Amino acid sequence: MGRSMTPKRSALPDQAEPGARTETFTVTEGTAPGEPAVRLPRTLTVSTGPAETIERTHLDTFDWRLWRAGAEMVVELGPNGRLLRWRPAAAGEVALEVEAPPRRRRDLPPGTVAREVGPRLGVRALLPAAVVRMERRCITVTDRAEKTVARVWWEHQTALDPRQQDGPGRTVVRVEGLLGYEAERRAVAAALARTPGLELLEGAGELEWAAAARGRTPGDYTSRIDVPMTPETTAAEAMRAILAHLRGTAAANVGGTVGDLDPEFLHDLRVAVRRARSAMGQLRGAYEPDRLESLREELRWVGAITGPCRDLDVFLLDLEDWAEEMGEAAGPALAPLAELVRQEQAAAQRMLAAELRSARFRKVLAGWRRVTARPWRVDAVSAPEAERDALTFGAQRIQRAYRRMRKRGEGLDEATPAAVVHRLRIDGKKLRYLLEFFSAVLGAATPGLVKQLRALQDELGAFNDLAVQQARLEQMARKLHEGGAAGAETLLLAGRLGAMMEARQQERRRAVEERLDEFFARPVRREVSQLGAGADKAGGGPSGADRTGGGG
Amino acid sequence: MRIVAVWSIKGGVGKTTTATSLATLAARDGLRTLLWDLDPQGAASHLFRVAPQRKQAPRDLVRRKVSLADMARATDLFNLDLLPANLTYRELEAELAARRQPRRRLKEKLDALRGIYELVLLDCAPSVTVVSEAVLTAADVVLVPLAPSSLSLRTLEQMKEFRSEMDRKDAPLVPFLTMADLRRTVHRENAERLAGTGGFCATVIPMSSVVERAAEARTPLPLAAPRSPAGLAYEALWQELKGRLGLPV
Repeated sequence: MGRSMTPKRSALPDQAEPGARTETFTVTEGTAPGEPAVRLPRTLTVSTGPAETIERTHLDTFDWRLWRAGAEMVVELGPNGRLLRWRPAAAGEVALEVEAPPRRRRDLPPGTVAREVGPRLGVRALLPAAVVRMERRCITVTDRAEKTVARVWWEHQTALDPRQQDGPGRTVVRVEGLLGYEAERRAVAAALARTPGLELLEGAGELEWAAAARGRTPGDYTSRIDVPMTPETTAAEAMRAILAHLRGTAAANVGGTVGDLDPEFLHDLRVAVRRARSAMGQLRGAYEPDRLESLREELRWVGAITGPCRDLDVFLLDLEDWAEEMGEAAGPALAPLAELVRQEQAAAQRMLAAELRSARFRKVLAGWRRVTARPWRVDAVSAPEAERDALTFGAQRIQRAYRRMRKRGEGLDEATPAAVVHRLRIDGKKLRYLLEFFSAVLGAATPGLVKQLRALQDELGAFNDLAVQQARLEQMARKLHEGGAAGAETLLLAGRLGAMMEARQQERRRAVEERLDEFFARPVRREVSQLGAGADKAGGGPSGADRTGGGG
Repeated sequence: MRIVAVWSIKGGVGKTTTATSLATLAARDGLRTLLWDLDPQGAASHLFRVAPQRKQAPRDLVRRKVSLADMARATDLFNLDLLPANLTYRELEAELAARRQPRRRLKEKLDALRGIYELVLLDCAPSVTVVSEAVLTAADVVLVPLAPSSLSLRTLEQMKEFRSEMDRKDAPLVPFLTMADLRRTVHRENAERLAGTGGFCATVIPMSSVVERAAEARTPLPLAAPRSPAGLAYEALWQELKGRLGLPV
């Protein structure tokens, strides 16, 4: 990914499972597998198993949800089948045989793994984060009762690249402890540590080592915005950095979108494009319009070509929720609807993939890179605010966006048309984007604003989703009816769903009203008005744009 | 976490075979499982070749400061740990009796395992003691293996009486028939009359020499002879219990 962001990961406990520690040694001199010079206490016996070839795949979501949670999932494919090993941070490992590596939430083995991994996954797919092929032997250490007390794995590993081609190789020796046999594990590890040619491997684990062969580093992608800037950064430089960052996010999601790996790739791609368009609209004055004119046009096109598929992705996810909500009996009635949506989604996906592979789209990404690659030399006439500092510039744009929301939102009541509520949501999004763009310089200056905005946006989002879902449901039901594909059951169910959504939407509207009161209350207003106070104002006063509103 | 005791006041009815088989099958299905061998004969511990840790004594099993999780040891199977026993564990009875609220003590110790295990199976000694009372207090379900003989039904009545004396009615006794020799008329008739009715499990475990052979080989029955009639019956019992116990599998 080549992105400069700090990977965030939950603190790992010293050992996930008490007594079940693993230590890894690297082999620095040729020591043949199965012939470790291990001198152990006499009570322990060592026996070497046959050589076997296995492939160990580390699975994670594209945005490293398992790794960030301090967890790990691997699937080992060997002569005896596939073994899935799930190691959460705060509980012991669960290992079980599986037919195929799980990809989506519905493929997870039912029970412990589905319960613990499913919620983390959401709609994201489990993808190979690292693949290691190895020839290995197991050296089993047993006590006098012939109970296994530790295992030593002698592994000649090869990291595979995304085309399953051989990457770098290494030989490692892993000591795998068993719960309740810590003394034995220590004895084995100590014996190995004394063995010439073996060195304790510290730091990067197998995942880190093998992910590199796929051009990945754990934590290298997050959809969160993290644009590096200081209060002294100029507005123009801030704008360039924001666009450069968003270009990276967009580009990172193209492959997964084309491959239809999971719906979040397209979602993140669209959000990056929307944020970029929003930045161009809201940060006018920080750049010369001509510089970004072509990019603006092309990003509008990207927004348009990605829309239909995203809508259908969301509809499919909604259908799953509805089926769950309406109970098992609704399954057959919803089936024709689900089938229609699946067909349309597949067609939209094919068209989208073709567009994203097109020369025009490649040019968009190339142009986007070119225009953000180097700092801009800006003309003060066509970009009058370019030299202002990022802190005051960002603060003023945030204040303006907040004022715009007040203007639209104050006095919102039951009679306010849904379209106005929808526009308020768009305004809220723009404000949130601004807070994200400038988060590096704003720090934690607006905890109340951020908290209240998030709460308000949740309600506005739910209100809007319900409106969109109702419209979609109506449209699809009509299509089914016209095509003669829907029975009475399906149409009745669609009617019931529509009524349920309508009722929920009314609930949401009331919640929006309550949230707005908090959002426009004095503590938040004070936070907004004090934003950027004390910063150097010499860079340029409030411009006309501050009062006239506008935005993308 | 569900706590399932396998208990009978009668010996030789297949308690250990049941506890070790169900533990093996639960572990195979990916449940984090702990098997607690509460029988000083230590048959389950012997089967899995796990001896108690040298530094630990029966006293530790009831001391508040010692976690059961620290005393557990991994078996050679994935997802299955064992709290082993040996003859010194006969002192557990006296240790427990010497504590205040002995019945609650075991429950407290087991409750602390929530978040670590999803299923705890208790392989109990064939007796009516303070330990049995403590087990009935701690368990969510008590599985009662019974041979399909008339005497066994009397045993079940006695156990029910014991439980009602304890005023512990929420841990149901779930009886099931084991060691059924279906060539014998009495066994066959009792199996037909009882299985699947009056709280009895529908599954009947047949008498089989593979059970002894598996024990001899120190291998849990579901691994030693999964396709044998007894092996298949334990699989069926496990499937039946999963639903009854509300286990997340």
